[in-house]
Amino acid sequence: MEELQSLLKDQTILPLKINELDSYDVIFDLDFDDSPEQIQYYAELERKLVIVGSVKVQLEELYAELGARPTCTIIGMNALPTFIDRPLLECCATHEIDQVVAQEKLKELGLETRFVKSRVGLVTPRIVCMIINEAYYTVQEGTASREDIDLGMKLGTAYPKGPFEWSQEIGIDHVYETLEALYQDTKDERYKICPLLKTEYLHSFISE
Amino acid sequence: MKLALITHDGKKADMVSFVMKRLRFFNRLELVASNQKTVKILVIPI
Repeated sequence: MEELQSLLKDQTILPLKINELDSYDVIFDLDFDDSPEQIQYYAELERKLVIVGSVKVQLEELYAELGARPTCTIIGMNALPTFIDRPLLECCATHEIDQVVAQEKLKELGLETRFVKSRVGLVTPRIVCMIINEAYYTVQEGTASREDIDLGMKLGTAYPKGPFEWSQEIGIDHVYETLEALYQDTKDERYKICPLLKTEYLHSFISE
Repeated sequence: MKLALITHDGKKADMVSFVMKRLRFFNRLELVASNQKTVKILVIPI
């Protein structure tokens, strides 16, 4: 907690009491992807805007489990590292009215949004994670080194970062879990995770 | 307008890393905070 406080010097960090959620107008849960069960608390709020990180889950699937639409406005957002720092926030809504309400309120907060279809992986994480996966296959097959691929993609295609560089900044866990969510959702071979990527992901849990 | 930013307290190191990787975004909201808005970082222990 002290470490977190030192990072966010001017912010107040408070432990949340679930029954106090109602006292906020706008709630950002950027960690939602990893704790989607929090939907039960948000779904009961009224006249609130809840923005949740939803790259690895599809909001409709959660609503289906609840058996009803939430009583507040909930929108999804690409909150993965590096993507969240872009001037435009990539968001999704399950209903048009949610998009209208959210766009207006977020604009008030100085946050520009672009809405994409509500699907697992959204748009940019899906594409970038697939490129990273492909880059891993290329290394696994011995076609090129990581450094050469990073350099080639930056110089040859004007990508802002090489796939390995980008993967490191996003976090191998997010890349793996996004691809896995896409594979589980679509069962499409395109999203099959490269064994080299999977091995690195597993290594990230093993302390040296 | 009252804002809440929620991160989950499951693993402390992960939470710090979560914030560090999104500092620019958090700082953007800090600007909002200086504009008469209240920003609170809330931590849900899970």
